[in-house]
Amino acid sequence: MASAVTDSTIFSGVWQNIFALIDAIADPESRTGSPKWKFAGFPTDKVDDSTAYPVITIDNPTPSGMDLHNLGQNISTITVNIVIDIFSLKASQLDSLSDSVIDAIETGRGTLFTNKITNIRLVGGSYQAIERSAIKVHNKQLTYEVEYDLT
Amino acid sequence: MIGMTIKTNGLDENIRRFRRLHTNIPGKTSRKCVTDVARWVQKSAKLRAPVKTGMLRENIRVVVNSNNRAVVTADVPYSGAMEEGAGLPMYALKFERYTSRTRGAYLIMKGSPGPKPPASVEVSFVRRYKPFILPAVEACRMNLPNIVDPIIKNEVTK
Repeated sequence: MASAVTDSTIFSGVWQNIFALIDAIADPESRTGSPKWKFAGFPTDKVDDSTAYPVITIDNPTPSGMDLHNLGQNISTITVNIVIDIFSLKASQLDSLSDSVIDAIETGRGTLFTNKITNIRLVGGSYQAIERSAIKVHNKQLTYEVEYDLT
Repeated sequence: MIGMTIKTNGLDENIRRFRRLHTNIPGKTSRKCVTDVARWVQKSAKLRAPVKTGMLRENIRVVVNSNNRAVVTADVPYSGAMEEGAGLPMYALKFERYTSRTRGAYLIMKGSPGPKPPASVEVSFVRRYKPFILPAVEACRMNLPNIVDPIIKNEVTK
């Protein structure tokens, strides 16, 4: 269970909250020994290892902007982008994992709101297929935008 | 005669917003687009780079030069050879035709262009290399609207 985001833990707090939601997704390959398959960055040393897939990475959040609202009192809102990458050797599995990621975040909206993360929006996505020597890796990228109100 | 007054709310704010766009789109928004696109290419190139020691992959970097220009670079001496095949040995891909039978064979051998082979032999010279930045750029071009649109949309709506 990730803790609430504070003014001094915006990026780390957002990352931990999103990771906690994604971490609940079950391994579709049901690999023995439950190896780690969700990371902060792609484990590039395993790029040619077919047993390492599927992989989900949650990139470090990046600031997208800051707005000042006045609703009776001044509120500063920080917008943060967070990119979630899904890598799989099967295109169909890529789609089902993308669905699982979107579902996990939608289901966790309440938890995120409790932890001060609001206005969660899927703002973009992309797809690419990467030919390695012996394998073909499908990659889908989901870009989320979230907001945090400074206290 | 009936007089009617029409009041438009938010017009001044919209004018201010469009004026702000005029300066922001070529400035910080353009820089963000360029940076995000370059980062996307960097990430993709890292996944495509051939790996022996991992040095090439670890040295793919992004340098943002200005508001409308970023460079994705691989800072190892052999990156040019890997990307374009420059300086790598050539292999002769030789196809021999047998006149009495309808079959042939491919032979791959290390070599260089020499004397003209007989007509029954077709030779082409190839280099074996693995480009990684150009395919990443091509993949990025396919996804360009998905990467850039949210940034522009964010700028227009805020």
